[in-house]
Amino acid sequence: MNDPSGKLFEEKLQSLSLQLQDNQACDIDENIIQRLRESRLQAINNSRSGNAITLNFPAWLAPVSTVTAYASVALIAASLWLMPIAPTKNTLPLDDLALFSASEELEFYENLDFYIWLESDNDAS
Amino acid sequence: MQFDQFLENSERRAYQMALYATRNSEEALDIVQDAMLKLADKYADRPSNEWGPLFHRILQSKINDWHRRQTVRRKWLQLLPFSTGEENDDLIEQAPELKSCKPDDKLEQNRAMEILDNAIKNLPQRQQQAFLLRSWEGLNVAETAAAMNCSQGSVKTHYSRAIHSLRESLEEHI
Repeated sequence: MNDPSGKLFEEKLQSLSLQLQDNQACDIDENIIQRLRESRLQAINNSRSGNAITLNFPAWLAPVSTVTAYASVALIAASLWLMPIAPTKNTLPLDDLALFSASEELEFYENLDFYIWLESDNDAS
Repeated sequence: MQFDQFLENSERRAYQMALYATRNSEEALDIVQDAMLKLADKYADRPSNEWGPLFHRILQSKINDWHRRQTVRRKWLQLLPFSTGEENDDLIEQAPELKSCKPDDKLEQNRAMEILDNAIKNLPQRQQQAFLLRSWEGLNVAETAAAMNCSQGSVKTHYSRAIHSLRESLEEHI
């Protein structure tokens, strides 16, 4: 063998493989070429629409908006924490609960008009 | 170089590389399309000298993913009782035959290219990638390692084995 290092073979192989690549590129079906073109145009359109979004929202806006979002959340949490708890009108006081739970006292209050009339009648007599 | 010009220059070679890997034109088209879309989506704003290695990194990753999916699919098919094993035959039949577009070329050169074509098809996947990236794309060892997501030492090994294998097939013809 006259090419012990293999350099000559490698050069010939390189040349042949590039020729093979050229020939295969010539042989690609027209339908495939059309679909590759469509894929390329789709990719380019996607990249352009992506760039448009980037222009609308500059890169420096991302950290600023993140910090603003965190500050807003912290502010809301702090105000909720520090806000005094006001009694609401809808809640039942404990006395009312006790009243409802005692059936005898409930009966007394239901007959209250009668007791008032009885007392006034006794006073009159 | 403009981004669309880069894609136009690369798309056919990318398709041929994917076709070597998959031996199926539809699969090869899908892989190239995915690679172009991802490059455009993520890296179109990068310097133009980075597009080549990035594009081939994406392309080779897609090809590797395809091989993994095929391996899993084959394993599942083997488990099925009605599997006939005709999948591989179909893929080989779908592989395009080499035809010269230059009819005046010497017969011997055509024969050598036909042998080279078959030899490249029969290379193991990683050797095939290393050879095509270095030979067709002209990437250096570092760029090929980046594209193949492996060390430079691995690239040298894969490339050297590919050359050795191709030499065995072609020695009498070139």
